[in-house]
Amino acid sequence: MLERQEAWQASRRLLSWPEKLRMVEAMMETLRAFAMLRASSGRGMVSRRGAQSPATPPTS
Amino acid sequence: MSAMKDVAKLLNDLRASGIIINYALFGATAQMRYTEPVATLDADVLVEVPEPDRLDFLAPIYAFCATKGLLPEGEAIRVGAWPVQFIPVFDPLTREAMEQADTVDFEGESLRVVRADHLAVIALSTGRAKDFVRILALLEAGSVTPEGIAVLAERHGLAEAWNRFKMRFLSA
Repeated sequence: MLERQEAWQASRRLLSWPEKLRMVEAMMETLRAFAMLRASSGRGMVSRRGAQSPATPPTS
Repeated sequence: MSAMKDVAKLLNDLRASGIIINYALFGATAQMRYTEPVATLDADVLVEVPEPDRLDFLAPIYAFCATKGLLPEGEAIRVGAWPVQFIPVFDPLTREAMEQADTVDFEGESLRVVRADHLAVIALSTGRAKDFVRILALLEAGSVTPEGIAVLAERHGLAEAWNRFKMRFLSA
């Protein structure tokens, strides 16, 4: 397992600097897309909750 | 093409316009020149500005970027995929790192990038867990030697910090 990990790390070190940066750019774009998706689904949940019932129960 | 080429072009334009005197990429994006890729969320750039004592010393950089349609995102300027953080040189070590940076050809655009030994000693000076990981990664990649770090650390008053690092992480 450790040997496989070391071989994988070594192969990643052999990438060129621009190739490594492109990997990170792809990761950042994925994170941004995920954050946008989560934000938009969060907004949907808020509006559905608001339509269902008041946030606090009646006191009387 | 990597978006870093656009960052390089912006930095060269800033320098040619006299808005910054000099610059060098450092932090994780510079580290990746020497080691395997590491996760990061921004590109850190050391800059020397003409008026470092101004309270709004970054304002001219932001204004220049705005003319190119590049807008602030938090404390950074977004260039393609990269939020770029401009960090003025803040001590003799970072000044030396910027001045002695390598100039490399990045996909046809010149780009100044801090050397591995300076990256390691800057990491030693900041001393967070992720900085120690950076030093170990640079050592493991063979980009720096303990002896090389020791010389630079000594010159910048960090000999004791280097000894502590060696005791903690490099003693068998």
